Order: sequence, then C-alpha cells, then structure tokens
Amino acid sequence: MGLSRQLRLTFVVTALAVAAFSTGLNFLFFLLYLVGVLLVGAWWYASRGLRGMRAGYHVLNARAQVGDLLQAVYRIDNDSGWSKPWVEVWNDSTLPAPLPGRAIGVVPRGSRQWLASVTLPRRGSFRLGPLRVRTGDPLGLFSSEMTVGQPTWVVVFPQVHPLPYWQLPSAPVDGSLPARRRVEAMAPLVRSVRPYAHGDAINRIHWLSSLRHGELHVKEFDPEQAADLWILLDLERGAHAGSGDGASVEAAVSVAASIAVATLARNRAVGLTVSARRLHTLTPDRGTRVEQKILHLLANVQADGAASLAEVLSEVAPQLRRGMTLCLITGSTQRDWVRALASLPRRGVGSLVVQLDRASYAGTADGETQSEVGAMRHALAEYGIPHHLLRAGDDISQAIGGRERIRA
Amino acid sequence: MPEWLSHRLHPREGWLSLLLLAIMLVALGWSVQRAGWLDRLDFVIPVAGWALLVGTLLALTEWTILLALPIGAACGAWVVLASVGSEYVALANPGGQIVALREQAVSWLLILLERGTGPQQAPWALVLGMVLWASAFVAAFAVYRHHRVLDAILLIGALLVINLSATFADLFGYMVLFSLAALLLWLRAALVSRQEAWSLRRVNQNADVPGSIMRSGVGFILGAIALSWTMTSVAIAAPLTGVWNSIDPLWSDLRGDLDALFGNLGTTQTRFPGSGFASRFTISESFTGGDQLILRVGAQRGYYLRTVTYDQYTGHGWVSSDGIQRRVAAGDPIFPGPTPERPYAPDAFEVETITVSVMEGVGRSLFTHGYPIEAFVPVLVSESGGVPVLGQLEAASVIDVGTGYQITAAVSRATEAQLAGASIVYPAEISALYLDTTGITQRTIRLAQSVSGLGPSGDPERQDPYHLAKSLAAYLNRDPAFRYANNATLPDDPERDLVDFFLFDSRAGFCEYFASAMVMMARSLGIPARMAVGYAPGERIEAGVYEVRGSNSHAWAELYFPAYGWQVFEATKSIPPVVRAPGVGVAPPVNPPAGGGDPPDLFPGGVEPIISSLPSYEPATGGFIAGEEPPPVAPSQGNGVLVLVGVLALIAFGAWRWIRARRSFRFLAPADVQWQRLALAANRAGVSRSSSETIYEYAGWLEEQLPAHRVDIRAIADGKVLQSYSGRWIGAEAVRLLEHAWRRLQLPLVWLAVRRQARALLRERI
Repeated sequence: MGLSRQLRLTFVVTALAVAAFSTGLNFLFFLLYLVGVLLVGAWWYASRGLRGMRAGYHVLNARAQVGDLLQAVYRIDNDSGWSKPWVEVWNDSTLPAPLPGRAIGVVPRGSRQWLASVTLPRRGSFRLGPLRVRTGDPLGLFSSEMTVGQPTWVVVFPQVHPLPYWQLPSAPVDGSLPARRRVEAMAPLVRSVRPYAHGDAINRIHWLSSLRHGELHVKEFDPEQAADLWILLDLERGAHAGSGDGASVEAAVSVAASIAVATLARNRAVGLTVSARRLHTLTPDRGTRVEQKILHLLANVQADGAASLAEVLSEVAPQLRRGMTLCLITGSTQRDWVRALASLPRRGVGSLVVQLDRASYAGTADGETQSEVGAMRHALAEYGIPHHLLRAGDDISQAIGGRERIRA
Repeated sequence: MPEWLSHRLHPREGWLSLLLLAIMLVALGWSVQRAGWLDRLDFVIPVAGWALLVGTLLALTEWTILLALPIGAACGAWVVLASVGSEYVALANPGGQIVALREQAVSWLLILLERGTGPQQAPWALVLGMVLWASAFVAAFAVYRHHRVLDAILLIGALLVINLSATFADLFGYMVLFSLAALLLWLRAALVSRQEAWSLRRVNQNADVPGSIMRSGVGFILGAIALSWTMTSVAIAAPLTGVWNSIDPLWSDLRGDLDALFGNLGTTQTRFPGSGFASRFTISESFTGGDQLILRVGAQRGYYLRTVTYDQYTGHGWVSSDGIQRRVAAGDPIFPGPTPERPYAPDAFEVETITVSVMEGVGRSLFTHGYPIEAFVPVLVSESGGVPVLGQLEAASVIDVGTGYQITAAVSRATEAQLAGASIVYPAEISALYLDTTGITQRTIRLAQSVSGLGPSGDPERQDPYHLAKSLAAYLNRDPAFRYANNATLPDDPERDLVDFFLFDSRAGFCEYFASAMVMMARSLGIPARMAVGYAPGERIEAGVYEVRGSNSHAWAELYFPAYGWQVFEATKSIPPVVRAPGVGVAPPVNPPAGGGDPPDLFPGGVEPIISSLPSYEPATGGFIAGEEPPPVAPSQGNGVLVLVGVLALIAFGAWRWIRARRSFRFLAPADVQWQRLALAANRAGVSRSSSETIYEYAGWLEEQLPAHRVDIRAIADGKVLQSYSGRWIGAEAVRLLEHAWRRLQLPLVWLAVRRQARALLRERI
C-alpha cells in the first residue's frame, strides 16, 4: 500500500473507532468491524498466499545470437491443500526486452509449467535475476513475495551473417611465385610441384619429381591454406557513428564476427584485436573454443576507444607473422594508417580493409563525406590493398561475401 | 471499430463498475427517502441516476475538465429543477414550475434571513437534489476519468454515514447494501489495476486468473460482511460517551444553530434533538405523525408530555429565547432555586413520578408532565431569556431505544374556581417573556376580545383570565368555521402574519396553527401564554400504562396563573379540551410566600410522590430507578482520552513504519543503507529508478532534479559503487560523510515530493 493510502486508511479507521465508541451507533460499529476484518483478513490472506509453493526456472540457451529467441522454462508447484487463485511469476533482468512473466492460478497439490521466450534484439551480456513469485489478497491491500534461485547471465553474440563466397586474400608468401632473392620463410603446406625457374630457392627443389621428370622441379606452397587471419576491429569513438541497432559499431562487430566464423569454419586460425576502451587481443587459434571466445569478446565491446587506428596498427603489426592476413574493419577516413598498412606485404602479411561509410550510419552523407570515402578508397587502391565498402543498410553477406568483389 | 469508439464502449473500469456505483447511489437514495427529511422525496433516485449517467459519459469523452464541469452543472441544474418542480409545484408547464420554485426559494431565503427558516420545503428539496447530483456526478467522474474508486466510495459513504447519523430510522440494511456494492467495486478496480500493471511489466495472465480473483474476492467480501454483521449484533459499546461531556455547551450551541436552519425538516426520526422539537421552529404546511410507537409511559393518567416551550412568536413560527443551560445530576432538583413556575397553591397539585420508556429514538429530548421537580437521569435544563423558567428539557446523553427515565413533577389539580380566582399580578419575568404581542394584528386583538367576552359588553362574572382563556379555547376548538387539516394553506405573501391568516382566511390547520392562535389571542388579553410542544396524552393500554405514538406529536398552549403555574388549554379542533373540576365559586387568590421566602414544601409531611413504574424498565445512561441509591459517578475522563487515543494511533503508525524501514535496512552495508534511503525517498517523490539504469545514470538524473545538492547525491552514489564493486569495506569516516550527506538531502527530497505531487494534481485537474 502506498503511504498516502495508508495514512488515509489510518485516519478513517481512527475516526470510525472514536465515533463508534462515542456514540454506540450500530452502523458505525459495523463499518469498524468491516474495516478491521478486511484489513486483518487481507493481511492473513496475503501472508498465507505463498505457503506450500515451490518455483523454479532454467534457461534453455544462455548463449544466443542477436535475433535468436531466448527461451526459459518455468515451473511452479502448489504443495498445499488450498488453491492459489493467482501468483505472479517473473524475473527482473537487464535484457532490452525482458522475458515475459506470467500470472497463473494453481490448483491444490497441482503444478504448472510453461515456456517463455523473447527475441534478443541486441548483443551484450545481460543479467537474468532470480525468480520472483508474488501473490496478494483480492483487494490489493497486501502482497507477499518470495525470491527463488540465483541470477543467471545471458550472453547475446553479435549476428553472424553467412559469407558463402568469402575468400581470404592471400599473403605474399614464397613458393607461390618466383623470387630473385633467397627467402627463408617456409609455408607448411605443399600444394604442387613445377619446373624450376630462375630465382627459386635451392631448398625448394623436389628431388624425387626432378628425377622422375629428368629436370629440376620445385615445390609450390598453398599460402592460403597456411595463412592465419588477424582481425583488427577499430572501435575508436571518432571512427563510428549512429546509435542503437543501426550504428556503425554494430555493423563493424557483425562483420568481424561473420568473418571470424567463416574463417574458422575453414579450419583457419583467427586472431582478434579490438581497440575499444582497452585493447583486447586474442591470439590466433583454431576451433570452436576460440570462436566462442571471439564472439564473447565481440558481444561486449563498444565504440569507446581513444587510440587512433595508426597507433593500434603500430602495436599490432609486430605480432603479425609472415603468411598472415590482416583484416582491418574501420570507419575511419584518416589516411595516416594506410601507409602503415601498405608496408605489410613486404613482411609477407596480406591485408584487407572493410571500410564503413560512417556518414551513412549517421544519416549525414553528403558530398564532402562521400569525397572523403572516395579518397580513402583511392588511397587503398593505390597501394593495392583490397577493400570492401559497407554502407548503412547494406546486406553484409552480399557486401563482404558476395560474388562481386572489389579488387585492389 | 474506431479506437475512440472502442475506448468508450469498453471503458477501463467496465460497465459492471457503473452498475455497482448505481447500487451505492440507490442505497443512499433509499436511505434518504426512508429518513423522511422532506414530505416528498421521489426525485432522489432519478436525480442520482441521471447524475451518474451524465458523469460517466462526460468522463469518457476526455474533454477537459473546464468544459466537462460546466456541462455537468448545466445538466444538473436542469434535471434537479425539473425533478423537484414536477414534485413540489402543481403546474404542468416546466417553465412555470421553475418560476414557482424561484419564488419559493427567494421567499424562503428572505424569511431565513429575517426570522428563521421558512415553511417551504421546495428549497430544501433543491438543495438536497443539488447535493445528490454533485455527489453522484463527482463519483462517476472520479471512477471513469481519474480511476479513483476509493474517492468515489468515500464520498458516497460519507453522505450515507451523515444521513444515518442524523436519524433514528433503522437504515442499517442500506449500509450493508452499500458496503457490499462498494467492496465489489473496489475488488473490480483492484483487478483492473493489477492487470494494467501486468501489462506494463509484460506479465501475461492466464485466461482463468481474472475470474479466479473475482471469485475469491467475492467470497472474501461476503465472509467479511457476514462476520461484521454478526459482531455488530453482539458487541456494541459506547465507553467514550462521557468524554464528550466537556464540549456539551459548544455542541448545544451548534445544535441550536442547526435547529434554526433545519427546523423545518419534518421528520421526527432525526438524531438531532431539534428537528420536530427544536429550540425554534417554523409552522409548516403539513403534519405527518406516523403510527410508530414512540414512548411507553407508566403513569396514573394520560399527561401532556412537554419538552420545549416557546416564548417568542416570529409571525411564522416560534423561538425559545436563548438563555443559560445547566446540567443537573440525576436525582437533583431541576430548579434548586426560586422560580416563578413553581406552584405554591396548597391542594392544587399532586406530585407523581412517571416512568417513560423510549421505544423509538427521540435523541436527548426529555418529556415531562407538569412542573418538573427532579429527574432520575442527568439532564440539561435550558432557561429561556436567562430567567429560571423551563425553556427546554433534555437528557445529558442520548436515550437509547429500550431504555428510559423517571421524572417527578407536580401536576396541576387546580379547579376552575381556583384558577378563576388566581391573581393577575404576574412575576416580572413571566410578563417580560410571555406577554409579548409583537406582530399581532389589530383584528386578531379585536377578535380575541369579542370571542372572550372581554369588556363592558361581556359577562362580568367571566372577566377573569381563566374564563377569558376558556372562551378562546372553546371558540377555536368548537367553532364550525374552523377545520382541522393535516395539510394547511400558507399565505401567498410570505410577510403575512400566519395567525391572522389562519383566523381570518384559511381557518384550517393542525395543532401548531390552533395553539399559536390561542397563545397570541391570550396574550392580547393580557394573559401570559406560551407554546409548548411534545406529545399529547397517549392511548391507555392497561391500568397505569400508556402508549404514545407518532400521531400524538402535538403543540398546545399553556397559560400562566400565579400560584398554580402553567395550565394546558387545548384549542386544537378534534382534540378534546382539558376538563377541570369546577370547584366552588371563585377561590381567593393565593399570595406568594411572604418576604420572598420558600414556598410550601412540595412534599408536605414527608409524603413521597406516587411512583408509576413500568415492568422491565431500564434506566438510560447515568440514570437510576427512583427510590434506589444513585450509582457512583464515574470520573470524567475529559478530552484527554480522545487526545491520547489519537496520539497513540499516530505513534503506533509511525513506529510501525520506522520498524519496517529499519528492518529492511538491517543487513545492508553502510553505503547501501544511504543509497537505499535515497532511492526510497526519491521513489516517494516520484523519481524512481528504472531497472536498466546504472547507479550513476540514476544519480545523474537525481542531480538534475536537485541541482543544489549534486555533491551530496554524487557522494552517496560513489559510496554505493565503491561498496558494491570495489570489494573493499568503506571506512567509518566515509560512512559518517555519507550519513551527513543523507541528512542534508532529506528535506529537499520531501519538498521535491510535495512540488511534484502539486504539479501532478494541477495537471490532472486541468
């Protein structure tokens, strides 16, 4: 009961009592008794409401993607001999759209069970509070409540788009092309053999094939089969725009997740660096475990970084090994990082840029912003860096993994 | 279906709420009709019904209140005027009815301002109609516009309680009906609120839940009403009655003012001792006595039982002059000192103690026969005009039905001879009060003289006051020109003197008309006379037992004869005149005691008065049986008990709230305590935290509401964050700082709550 209603009731009851005991009028006593019986009866009704009740719930999928359904099964048992006309069952949570509660009646010595589901519209980690069960008297004067269980965490991963035609750009690793100087790096996988060409390394000669063919043959390596993918997700605050589900950061995270999952599915090692408020790094690895780690990290990051892309690149670059490919996802139109990116092929590191048109996500696309984007693409093309352009509303599967590719 | 139409066809409260409101208003209307405040009350239910309908429709339109209220008032004015007019004005033309009502209201108001309430009942009907309209309209509006069911219940309930409190009529059944409807309405409203809250919080409800709640609620309500009814029938007490004794003078003054205003309302069932037997009344146009048994009297013979006497004639009614009121303990003399009313002629009276058992509520009115000597119940004596004459006799406490009292009085046995020989030297107090002929017309005086035979042309042996009075009474009682009628005609001119109108124009009326004419005509002949009201002698059931009914309610004239006191002169047609023994010749006048000494003992030779009792008689509160020892007087508790009860209730409430608050904070960490206090106080101010807000986000918003206290709010938020997430326990110094910060925030939060509440109310009204 609210305080004002309590005060009003207290005043009415006191006035009734004084009037009744002063006058002895039967109807005043009737009112006094009625108010007393209602208050006492309602309090007793509410306090006994949850006697003999048991409740519980479990979440069927504590990890899901954006757009998936979060499902939980609830159960409530009434072990007493009294029916419960209504009990209210719900969880407090930090979910954007909470799990729907339920008001339900339970017969004596009966139980009810139901499935509750809610669509997960946003990525992140959300707390699902303990189960709360409440009931009260029919007049709404008193209520009793119990809390069951412990809080649970639900992690919503970013949406992963299928990239059926996604091709990892190759790194300039030796064995695939003739080179005039001695190269020391070795790719782990031999794809085929070919005749010796001037400039091939002596240690590449495949002697068995050479004997068979009667001339020198050298091994040819599959750099794509051997290459790790390192995703660098630029989450500098100034590189992103928009808000809510249509913000550029969501697209960037979704692209990173999609690329990581698609690459891991091809048994490649994927590493991840995210330049959020802190620099998060996951070293390249293969398997479902690293997929979970990547998606978990991507579920919780926000565009709150302060370091520029150039600074981050300079920190990440030393970790890139020969044969790796760096996939840079950014909305930045500053060109200071392009030169740093352009130096990577000399180290045998491939690169790919997914450029987000920040202005389109902010809804402020105009001539100036378009020319900035155009200048960036021109700069990337100059250095032969393959890149994709992603605008607000573009289908990521098509933009990144479609048949049409922007070639450097 | 368009949404606006759907919203109006399916209001939030549903049409069941309208039905329940209607039942509540019908209970109120029936109780008003049953109380019988006015002669004609058929308009009550239709007015309430129309008000409910109009209020509901206007509430559902969502028009601003500045538009809806005037429309409602206009509809109300039309409905009330039409309803009251059709019942109180014998004209078919509505326009004529309104004009007639206006004229009645204006004349009523003029009379009210000049001399007391007017005789017309139509203005009271209009007032009652307006009150009912306003209440029903506001109740419907509160439910359907503002969703405040409790306010509607309290409003209609308050009117019902006032009506029940003001009458002795048994209206308990209407209270039960009202309670049932009100609780069902509350149940329905609670269900709707609950469903709305569920909808907001995305709590789905099973289809069977509303029905389940209603069923359990109905059972709960029926059980509560049955239990309360049972407890009412077995456990009622009034231990605090004595507490109010100290404010009796204030209450008596207030009752007197109320009597002046409401004196014309005709019911005798009123709990206010006044209406019917008030300290002032206006002669009405109709008399309805009723057949209900009022009193059972144990007496040797049937007596005129008087409760109020009037000395001032207003032209339209009578007033008992203001004087002192004194309390007399049970068994004490009513007039301990000298009084001109006390008879002192030997052998002209006998003293008898009668027993009166109250069978239907009479409030505090006490009825006495003859000159009251002592009552065996605490009484309040009102002395008119500040002189020791009996203006009004009341019991100190309400006399409950089934109880009664005994009163000893000296009843006149004066013969005609004795009265004829009575002195014509009247005490100054008597002359001052009871010879006033202000307003009497000359032709009334002439008629009195001619009828009584006063003057040289009359019988010289019948020029004494007794014979003159007897002639007057005979004239009014027996002259065929006069007719007894329960419904009298009032003069068209409200300024016209009513006695003159009765004597020369209408010549038809009931006891008040005849008695008023008798008194004024007697005064014009120089005989002190007064109007008395009470009950005429009832029906003899068996030896020593008389039953007095509502139809015995009566007004009569009493004339003063020195040494013999007040004598009843019955002038009302159709009621037998008072018969006295003739006596022999003319007795000499009895002189008052020499030197102003004590008159002869009322109980000469120690002779005890005759006591006429009743079987199974139970004395009223504070009373005792004549001849027995009086009960010990309980010490007056004064108003301290009331004050103590009120203070204790407040303390208990405050303690309960404090303990609840403390208990909820008992196990919290220090910083959490301050944060919880801040959140609770802000919640009361309507600035509550949403579930998705972080501590700093909420604190930031609070800082916007109280910018002057940013530092304190931020300090408490910092403490909470530190306590919750740092894993460290904050030190004592920090706890002290947080407590200081909270203390500085308490009053601003209260002020914030007040401001927000006021703003919300203003927004709601507009």
